[in-house]
Amino acid sequence: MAELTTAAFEARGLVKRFGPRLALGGVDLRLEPGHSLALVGPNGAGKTTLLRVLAGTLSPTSGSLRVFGHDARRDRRNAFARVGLVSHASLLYDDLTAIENVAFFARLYGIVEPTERALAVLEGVGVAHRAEDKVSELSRGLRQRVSLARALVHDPALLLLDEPFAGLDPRGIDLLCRSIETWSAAGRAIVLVAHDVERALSITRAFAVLDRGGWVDGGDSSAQQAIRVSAALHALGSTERTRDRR
Amino acid sequence: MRGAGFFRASAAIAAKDLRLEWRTWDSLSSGTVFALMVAWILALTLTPASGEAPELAAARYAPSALWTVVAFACAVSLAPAFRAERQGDAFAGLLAAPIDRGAIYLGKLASGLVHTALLALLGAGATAALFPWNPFERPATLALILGLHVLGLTVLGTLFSAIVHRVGRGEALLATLLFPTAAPLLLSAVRCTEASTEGRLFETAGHWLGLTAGFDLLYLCLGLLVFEFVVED
Amino acid sequence: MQAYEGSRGSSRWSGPGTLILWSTTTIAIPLALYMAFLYAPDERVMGAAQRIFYFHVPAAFVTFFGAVTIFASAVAMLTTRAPRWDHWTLATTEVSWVFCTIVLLTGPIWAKAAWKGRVGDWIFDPKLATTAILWLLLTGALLVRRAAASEELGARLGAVLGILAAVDVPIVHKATVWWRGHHPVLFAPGKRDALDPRMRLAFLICTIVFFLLFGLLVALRRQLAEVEHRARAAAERASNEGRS
Repeated sequence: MAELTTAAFEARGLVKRFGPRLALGGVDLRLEPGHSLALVGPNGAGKTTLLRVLAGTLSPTSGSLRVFGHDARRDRRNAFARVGLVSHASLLYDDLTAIENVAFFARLYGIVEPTERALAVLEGVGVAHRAEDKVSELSRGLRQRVSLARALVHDPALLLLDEPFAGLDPRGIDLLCRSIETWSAAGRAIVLVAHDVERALSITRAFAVLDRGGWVDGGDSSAQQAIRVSAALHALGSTERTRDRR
Repeated sequence: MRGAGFFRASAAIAAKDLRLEWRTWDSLSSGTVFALMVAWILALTLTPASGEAPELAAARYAPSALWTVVAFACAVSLAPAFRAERQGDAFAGLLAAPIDRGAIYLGKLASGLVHTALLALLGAGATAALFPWNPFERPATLALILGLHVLGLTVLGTLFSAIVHRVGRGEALLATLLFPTAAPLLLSAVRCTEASTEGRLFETAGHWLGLTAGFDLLYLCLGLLVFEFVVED
Repeated sequence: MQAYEGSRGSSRWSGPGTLILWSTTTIAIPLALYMAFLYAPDERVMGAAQRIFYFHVPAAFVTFFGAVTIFASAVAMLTTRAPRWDHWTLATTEVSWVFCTIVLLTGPIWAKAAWKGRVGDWIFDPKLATTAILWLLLTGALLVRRAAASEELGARLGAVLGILAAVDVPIVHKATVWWRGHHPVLFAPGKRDALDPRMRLAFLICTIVFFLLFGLLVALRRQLAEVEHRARAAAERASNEGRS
């Protein structure tokens, strides 16, 4: 590519159809390395679909996606090697221990000493003391930290977070917010999908509003924007409710 | 850095599955119970006709009994192959990893093959115990026959297990898909076992062995090709 | 804005082609019935029951041809991901299933006429055993399609199973031929010349009519699938517009 900087990812005309349903209707999006973006929108707007396409778990019906300059379709091993995914589900095996889980995913990412690396990452998120416990025996908050370790084990340059606050207590949310800010400061590109608009915009540099599979708004995150977007989404949500009542 | 190579990723997945199996006994426990139950029912019902020597009757029935046991055990033990991935949506983690989708299939196939091979040995042991018939007389040819046919059953069973898992059904649908597709394998397995008991495997059943080897290879390639279409969204 | 698949263009098959197929088949079916029941003479040994042959064998030809069309459309569906190829796959699978059922139902009658009384014998016939297995495979593919949560997933899994089934057919046939204990016999010679020319003509006409009928049913089923697909898309669009 002739461009001076390689984008963390660059999506052009992403379309995703589930049978007759159009989940993404031609989305363009580009994120520079080290930048952070909040994706907001009402339910069913296509946020999670877009994030799953960016994570490589869902293949788009049409359109192109390049991640760190590598074509996602033709070169998935290079494209997704530096992408980390955190979801509201743990993405972990309940019957494996924390360290076994993280080491397993480290192996899939081609890390040479997976167990050592897994232990280091678990230390980083503060669950090294429970590393030998099965995931099913951990509390929701601790499990979430193991999920973070899973996503960070290969030192990703792009982190995708899908509703990571779901089910966390206020302390857990606070902790996660600070982690996100640290990762961002460390130069990782971040995409965050979250329900709570004000919180999402408070920890990201930019935001984009998705509705019915297309962009409707976007800009730099700021306190005024957060209030405006949150009010707009509230309005969208309430029209949806009136329609349902009919 | 890029993702793990094809075989390295498969090995990691297979090792992970075997560790999970060692911990939960999900697949082997149900497979074992099922295999023994089917073997016992067949031994009870397949009795010699009046005046027929039991050994002669066994030579007729035992190979079919053995492969009925193995086929059912394969279906039952492969059905939970993707169950562990459902908890915590770990499958999304696998799909997001920078590995070839075929590697996921190969890893699942490898761990499934350990289960089905063990169950096939158990089935051979059970039929040997319940019928006046000894398949272990020629261990090398028995290993060859079991290996080739169980490989084919596992190649198909793993793929069908993924399909059944995608539509949220269980063992019944898996058996419905597996048995007709595996019909040539089962016919071949019975003929090969008969020939092996007579000690003339390569003379009388060489063409069956060739057919099975071709079948295994063909469906392994097809499985690697189409697995992606089964698992993606 | 959002682009939906055009309502024009893709419907071109429903035009003159189907109409010609319709009319030809409608005229040809009575002709085939006439040929099979009145024109062709009684067979000496089997008598009138032999006339099932004019339906059984053409249906079998069509079924195995159907397997080839399933394979082709399923491969096209998986490589292009276009819904229109799924409509072909669905149509060929369902219609082949119907013809396969006809073969299985007429099989025992034919066998009874041919082998005098021992109805059960027909399961040892390699061709019929292969048909029975194919019937199970097609049923499995249709069951999975039904069970899938979304049209798109059903399309993909249906195509995968269609390919696996079609590839299996020649292998099953080989295995069932070998099962009888003898090495493969490729052709049973002699019989062909013994056939009465009127019988041969009736058989030829019936075969052509069965292929016409297969083509017509596939074309209609495919159109229906496409209409269903478009109706769902329209319903989806309407519910989307209602939201704003």
